[in-house]
Amino acid sequence: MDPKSAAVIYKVFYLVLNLVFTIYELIENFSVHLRNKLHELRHEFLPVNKHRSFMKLDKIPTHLTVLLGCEEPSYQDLANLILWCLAARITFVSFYDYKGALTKSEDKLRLVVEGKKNSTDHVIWHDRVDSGYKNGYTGRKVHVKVLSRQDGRGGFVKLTKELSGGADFTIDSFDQRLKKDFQFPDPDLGVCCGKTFSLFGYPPWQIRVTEFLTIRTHHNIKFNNFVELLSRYNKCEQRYGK
Amino acid sequence: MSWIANSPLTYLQQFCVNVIKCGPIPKHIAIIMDGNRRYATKAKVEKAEGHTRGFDKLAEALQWCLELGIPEVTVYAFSIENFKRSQSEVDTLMKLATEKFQKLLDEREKIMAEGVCIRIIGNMSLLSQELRKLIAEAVLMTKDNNRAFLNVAFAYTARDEMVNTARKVVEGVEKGAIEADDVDEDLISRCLYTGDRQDPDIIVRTSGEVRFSDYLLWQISNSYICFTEVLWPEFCIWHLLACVFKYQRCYNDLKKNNVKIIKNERVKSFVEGLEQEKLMQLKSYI
Repeated sequence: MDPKSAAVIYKVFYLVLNLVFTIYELIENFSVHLRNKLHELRHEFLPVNKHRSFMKLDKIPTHLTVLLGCEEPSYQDLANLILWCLAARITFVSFYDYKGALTKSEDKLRLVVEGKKNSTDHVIWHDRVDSGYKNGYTGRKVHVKVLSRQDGRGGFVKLTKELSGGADFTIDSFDQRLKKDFQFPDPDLGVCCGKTFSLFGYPPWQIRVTEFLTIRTHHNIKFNNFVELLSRYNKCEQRYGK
Repeated sequence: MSWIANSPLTYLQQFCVNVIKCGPIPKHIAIIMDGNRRYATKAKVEKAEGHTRGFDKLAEALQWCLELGIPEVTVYAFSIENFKRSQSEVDTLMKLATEKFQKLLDEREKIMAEGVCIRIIGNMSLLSQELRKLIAEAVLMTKDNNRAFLNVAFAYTARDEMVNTARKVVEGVEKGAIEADDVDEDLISRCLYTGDRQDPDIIVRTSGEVRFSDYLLWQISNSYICFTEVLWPEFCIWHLLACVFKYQRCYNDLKKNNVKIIKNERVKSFVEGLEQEKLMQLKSYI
């Protein structure tokens, strides 16, 4: 076979392969949609006990971070996530939107959350401007923060610039300084949304031991999907090099 | 077994490689070769044998990457955290590394004919004098090769790399070699152990773990992530092809790795100075 016609054959096979996968994805999407609908129907009659769902778990992340990836933020669903985190006693939630849409419209998210939450629950927002939070809340509380691309590698660059004058620094001292800027502990669980699994410039220093899980999309995410994520996280075991 | 395997692909494998090559091919793949010990338990062999098979798998994987046209591979061989393992296991791993680097030097002609440039990224000061010498010889011997690049992360963690880099940059500012305004993402990228190499397009971790364990945290910022269940010694060409295909499927959504820009003459001579320093350091080990 001459190389020219061989190249054509390879190309045809490549196209067919892609076509097969596209069809497969469509079928999969449809079946997931169907399953969710069925699940919803079932639970209309059987309300879920949220607390019981979390009781089976041995560990709960302290900081859950959601990476929106290529997806546009859906305020209703993100607000639901915050409330479920409250119920699961996750104390820190952050959202990373590299495109910056969420940073611009954080107020919108706040409004939705305020409308949905119980009056005894506290959602503490960590803004760029107002960083100190007030202690002394009673009841359940969750800290929320929106991250954008500037918080990524830029955070490390900023700190490097600030350090001068015979700076004798170590990993620990660097870590402390970066933690102060970042305000939140390092994330334990990262949830990546959408089919493109990438960090899109997420702050690099903070993700040393973060477990990353994926979801198809955060749009229309259901409570049982959230519990599923936590139970997947529950199964992850850290060895810390050993 | 040597550093690059030479076992011919089957017709079917060769055909599939050619099909996948119709799509965009990554220029750089990073791999966390995890699961050697679990494999040893599963296959009922000694831990050391698990590590040896892991190394043999690397040689095969390098061959597959070359067949696919992927010129650069970065692997996580040994983390600084791994020093916490039992003394006997650390000794075994060091012995294996010493053997393999010795082998590399013995196979000089073959490696030079393949045109492979080998670099070690990591904190060499943590290694024994003997191993450091072998590594330095191998790196210096292959430094001008440019057909394929193999970066081995050894005694490496990303945080160690990042802090050492920040230290160099801060010193540079203090000495007046560069100005504070010169410090940006590109400069940091350029001063990391990985230097002028491009960031990986794909990061693969085997054995079902879903974290990065302090590996290339800076460099994988925009890579496509591929976590796979298979244990490293059982990794085969189909897993690699699957990773590349998945990368191709979302190629358009991924942020492309930009070239690291050197913004002025000052930065240029600073970076060149660092490279010279690195070279002198290697020479001093021999």
